Amino acid sequence: MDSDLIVVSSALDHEAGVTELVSKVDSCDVLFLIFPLYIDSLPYNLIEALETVKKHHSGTDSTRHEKKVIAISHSGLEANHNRVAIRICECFAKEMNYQFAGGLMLGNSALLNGCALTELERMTKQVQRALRLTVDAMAMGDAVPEKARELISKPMLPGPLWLYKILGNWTMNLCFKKKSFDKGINTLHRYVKPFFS
Amino acid sequence: MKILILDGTEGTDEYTKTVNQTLNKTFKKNSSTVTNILFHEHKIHDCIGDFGCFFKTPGKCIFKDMAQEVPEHYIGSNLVVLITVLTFGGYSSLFARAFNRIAIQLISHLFMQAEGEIHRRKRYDQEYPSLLAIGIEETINQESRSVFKALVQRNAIHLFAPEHQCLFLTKDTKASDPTGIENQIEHVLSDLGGKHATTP
Repeated sequence: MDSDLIVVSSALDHEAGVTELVSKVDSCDVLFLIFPLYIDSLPYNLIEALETVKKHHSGTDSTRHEKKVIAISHSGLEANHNRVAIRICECFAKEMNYQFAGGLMLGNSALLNGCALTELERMTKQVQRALRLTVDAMAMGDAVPEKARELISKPMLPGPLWLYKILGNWTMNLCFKKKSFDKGINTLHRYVKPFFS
Repeated sequence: MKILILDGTEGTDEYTKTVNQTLNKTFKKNSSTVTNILFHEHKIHDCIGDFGCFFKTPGKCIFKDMAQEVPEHYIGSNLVVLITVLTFGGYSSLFARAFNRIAIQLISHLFMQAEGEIHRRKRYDQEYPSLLAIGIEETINQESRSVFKALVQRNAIHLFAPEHQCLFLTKDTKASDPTGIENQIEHVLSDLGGKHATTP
């Protein structure tokens, strides 16, 4: 299978990028929408890309229904936080008369810390397996398998929620100390309330 | 009562202008103080996801524009009204561009556990305002509305809104004139626990 990658933030900056975006969406068989969760939704630039695609595809086209859309949303919080964003992608597919082939929800993505999945083999083996299952299903013309959805939504580090909260806060405060040391900000500054203090 | 209106519509459409004007008029009838922010009148920087609002300048985005100023109005309000063109069941890109940056300044970098989920803590001790989200649509789309309601419900949780409501305003219905819009607004405000109703 051939694939193309478009980073929407740079594509939307110029007319040639917009033309390429629309053309590639138009000609593909499977459209993957991959994004970090922003306030329970898609980031604004992906919304803008989808609006652009819709704007340039007014009218009916009988082959549109053959195009599949798969959404992969990731969040620093638990996987379930991505649910509404996946539904938004499904709405887009329906409005465009595309086939929504399913969504994958990845949680605790901050654990990846910018690393490739293969660099964190042990922690991400379920995620990698889910993606392989999805690609295999796509090759057969099928929707995202339920097994793939289950695997990718499992926590990368199993444990109770309170442990995530403690580890998460410890990591956040560590980040703050690192940056505050660099920037000379008092570590108590992290509790600052710029307004109504 | 203090009301903040965050209008993320394009500003070129007569209907959306009417919605904004009617909202302002409806609230001012009851001597509410209204801050009306029209996103299309401002140049808004993108969120670059650097977490500067957590670590570098806590509670304030590093970019000095309208989105950096709105949080102060937000926390000082009793009710925040969000206006957006309903887009695939969610916010439009114009609305989301500003809202992405506004919302994150209202929450802490630290986590809490609530109702079986992990969330960010609130940054301020004050009670956060209730939310009224207005989705404007060309024609009625029930699926889109269902997704929007779910989105606003999730936002209300993350933004500690004591109450939230959605209102859908459809261009092609009989209730698309100012009186019709006003009636729908009054009705939904009375649903918001009566606290924000404009009829004394």
